[in-house]
Amino acid sequence: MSIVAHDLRKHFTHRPAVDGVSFEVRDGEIYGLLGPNGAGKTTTLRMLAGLMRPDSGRALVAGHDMHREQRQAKAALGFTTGTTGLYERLSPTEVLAYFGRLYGLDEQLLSRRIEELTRVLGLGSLLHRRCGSLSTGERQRVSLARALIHDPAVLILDEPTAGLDVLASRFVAGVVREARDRGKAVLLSTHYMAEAELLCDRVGLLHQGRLLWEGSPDELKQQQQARSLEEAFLQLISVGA
Amino acid sequence: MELRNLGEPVRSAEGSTPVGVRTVGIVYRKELLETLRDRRTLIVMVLLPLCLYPIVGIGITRLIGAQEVRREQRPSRVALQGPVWTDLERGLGRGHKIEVQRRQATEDALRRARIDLLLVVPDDHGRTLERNGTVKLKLLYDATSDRSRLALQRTREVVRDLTRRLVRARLQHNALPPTLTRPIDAVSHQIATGRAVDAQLMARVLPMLVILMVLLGAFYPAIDVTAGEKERGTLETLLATPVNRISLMAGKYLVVATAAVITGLLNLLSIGLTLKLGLAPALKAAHVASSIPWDAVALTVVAMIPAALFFAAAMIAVASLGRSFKEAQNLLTPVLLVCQLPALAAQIPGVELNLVTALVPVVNIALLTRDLIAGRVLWIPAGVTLLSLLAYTAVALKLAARVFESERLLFAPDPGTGRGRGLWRRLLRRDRGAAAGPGASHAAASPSQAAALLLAVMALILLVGQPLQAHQLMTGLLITEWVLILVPVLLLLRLANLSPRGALALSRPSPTAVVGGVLAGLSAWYLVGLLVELIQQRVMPMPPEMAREYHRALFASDRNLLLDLFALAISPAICEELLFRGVLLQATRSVMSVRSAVLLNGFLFGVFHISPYRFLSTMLLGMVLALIVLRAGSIVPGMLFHMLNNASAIVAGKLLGEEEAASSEAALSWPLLSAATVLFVVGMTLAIRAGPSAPRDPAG
Repeated sequence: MSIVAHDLRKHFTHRPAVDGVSFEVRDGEIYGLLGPNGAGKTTTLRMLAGLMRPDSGRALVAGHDMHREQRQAKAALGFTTGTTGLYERLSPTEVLAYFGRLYGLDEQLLSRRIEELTRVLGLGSLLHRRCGSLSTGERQRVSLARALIHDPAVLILDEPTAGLDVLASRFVAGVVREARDRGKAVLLSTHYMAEAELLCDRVGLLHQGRLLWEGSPDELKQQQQARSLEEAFLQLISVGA
Repeated sequence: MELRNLGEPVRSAEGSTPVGVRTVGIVYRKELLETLRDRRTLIVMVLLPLCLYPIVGIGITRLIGAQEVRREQRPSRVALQGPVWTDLERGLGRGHKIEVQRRQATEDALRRARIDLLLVVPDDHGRTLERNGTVKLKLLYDATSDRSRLALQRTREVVRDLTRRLVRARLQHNALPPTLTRPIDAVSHQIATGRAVDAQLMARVLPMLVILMVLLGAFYPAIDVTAGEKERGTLETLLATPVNRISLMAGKYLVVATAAVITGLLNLLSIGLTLKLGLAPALKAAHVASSIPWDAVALTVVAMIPAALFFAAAMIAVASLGRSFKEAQNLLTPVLLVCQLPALAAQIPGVELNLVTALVPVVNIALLTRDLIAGRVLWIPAGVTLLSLLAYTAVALKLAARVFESERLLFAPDPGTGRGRGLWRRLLRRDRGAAAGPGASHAAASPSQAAALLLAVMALILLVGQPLQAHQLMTGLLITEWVLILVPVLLLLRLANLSPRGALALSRPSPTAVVGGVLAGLSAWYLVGLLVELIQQRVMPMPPEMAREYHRALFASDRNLLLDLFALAISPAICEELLFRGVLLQATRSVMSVRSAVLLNGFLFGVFHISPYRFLSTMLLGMVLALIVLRAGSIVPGMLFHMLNNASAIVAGKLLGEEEAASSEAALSWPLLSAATVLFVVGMTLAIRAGPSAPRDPAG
């Protein structure tokens, strides 16, 4: 198992944000964490990426405990946030080089990786512009390249298609599938049900900090006798409430 | 699209992740590159120092140098009235740059500046001299005119020479030794080298400047590498990498320190070049300094580097608390002020660098810089200073790193408002209701704008205003008020597009508030003066010679009263009020409670007057003024109060004369005290209770 969330709990000042969430993502699998805003998706991903410490429970990445073997766990992880945050005054090349070095790549390997990712993600014309001048779609491509720079075994992507147009979303979906096909474990969050239905091998439905249901999109639709994932989700919530 | 190939698998990064020094280096290189591409940083770091000093320098040269040289070269026009006195006239004719004339020998001509001095010779001077009597010469001059005062000085020299010759003649005539009238001949020798004398000026100004420039240099980079990274959302991705947070913080810290050092060096370089190329002749002409102590400028660098290391750490620790660039800016601004103020320590006579002061941050930097420049360094306190600075730096870095570990501070949602209301309070986890009422002004300056303005004005006064005042008190004061204080205020208003009403509280006051301001202003000088006298005489008495000097300068009886009132009462009432009760008070009242705003305003007003002996009185006045303006909702009662307070003190000073004004006992009278108290209490009650005038028609 490449990503293991075991009974993760996180409490904020007034309310539990994540309330006992457990799931696993296998190698070569895309797992989608679905839910409305405030369901606890981002908090769950942050705990798995080692940015937040769970109040209780364990997070494992590539077999390493995110708390006890943090360095190994993080070295195996590529992570993007929902903001496609890039250094505005640096060029994509400089951003990629910075992160590559932080992941311990030597200069030769680094330039090879940048070359490959440039080709695969079509960054050619962007490489020497300032990130501040890139469009949202272009930023997301650079952001993905940054997460892939050290060829991690595990990808955690928070809302990778948020704010993107149709073409850019498709492109990102293509990159995610490609990563899956190369045996990586991909965990992503989204609130676009239709997209998750097309992209994810399995989904987990998160609502008010709890995992309501887990399985393939088709299983869920069958079980709820719904035409779409969205319909199934709404039915589940109304039952739960 | 070619998606089939995501490249060759990379060896697992496990075990080869960089630790320690290498990470610090990677972070340092990247942050430095980014910092050098930041326009704000570049302006503060490079453009500001390279432009500021030459501009200030040219200004000073124009103001002092040219005027001085012209004045020195122009002959004084001395008109003689009365009978001919050949010896005197010959003396004047031989005198330095004097033109003697008999035309226009009237007071009226003097008043109209047709002549510079009127010399009245008594009719019977010949007979008086024969009888060994004293001839009474009358020298009429205009104290408000520079040329006239120079004429007086030159004429006095001639008269002194003539007197000496006449005394010698009288002694000879009576067969008495020439030493009869000179029982003592005191010859003074000063032992300080020329350098030490000149270094005095540098030692006053440079410590403040060093601290200010290093602080400013660290300001934007400190925000950019911490809160800026949070705001852009890059910090999360950075923290998801397998690098040690301490190394990350160290790399960022070193970049901020580098920026601070570069800023400091460029400032010093610019100061040095300005002095060398432009300012030296002017300063020489004005007798401010005869040569520039270059080694002093160079030694400043030595003190600047530990200062930069410390300030960078302090600023990065505070900036890390901000969730957005703007929030961090509002957090850092008070730090900028707090760090700047102890620098005044170097201005207080008697405060020395010893084992105690060496432990006080900022104070120790200021004192060390001062001593380095003055060329008298005690090595043990200097060593303690460096060690304690290192220790404080370490503590600040530790705090900064802890912020990076804190989820509460890393992931707290951005408030979005950006005004930073009650920010410090929230961070200190003290929950109280928002202090400022609803509908707080929307057009006031931001606290950081106000702080920048205050710092700029303070720097201008130290660099330009004080030398000018030392050179020529009245002109210097007027330039300080109307140019160095008012012009920056108006510039800020213009540049930041602020409304006079919101930013300066320049609005119509209620009549009650006006009456209150007038009553309280008329009585305050007496009460505050007395109170300060009672307290200060025990805590920090003004040295008597300084007190005499101070009163002589301010209450000189030979000056025009109207000029005094304009320069010392009306000008500060307008200019200082617009800065302190206008921009500063209006900017702070939206981020703190009334009490804090009043206290801070008084404190800053006290500090602004630079002299430690006047701190208490000016602080009290500042607080009273701030309270009035806040409660009345208009700056006008404050201006009236300020003007009448100063005017009363001036008039009283003139009436009582120099000596009495200097000692309080003479001024203490119980009827006066009770009258003033009643007047003050009634006035303050009216001003505070009045409240703002009824809002005008919104269309108007």
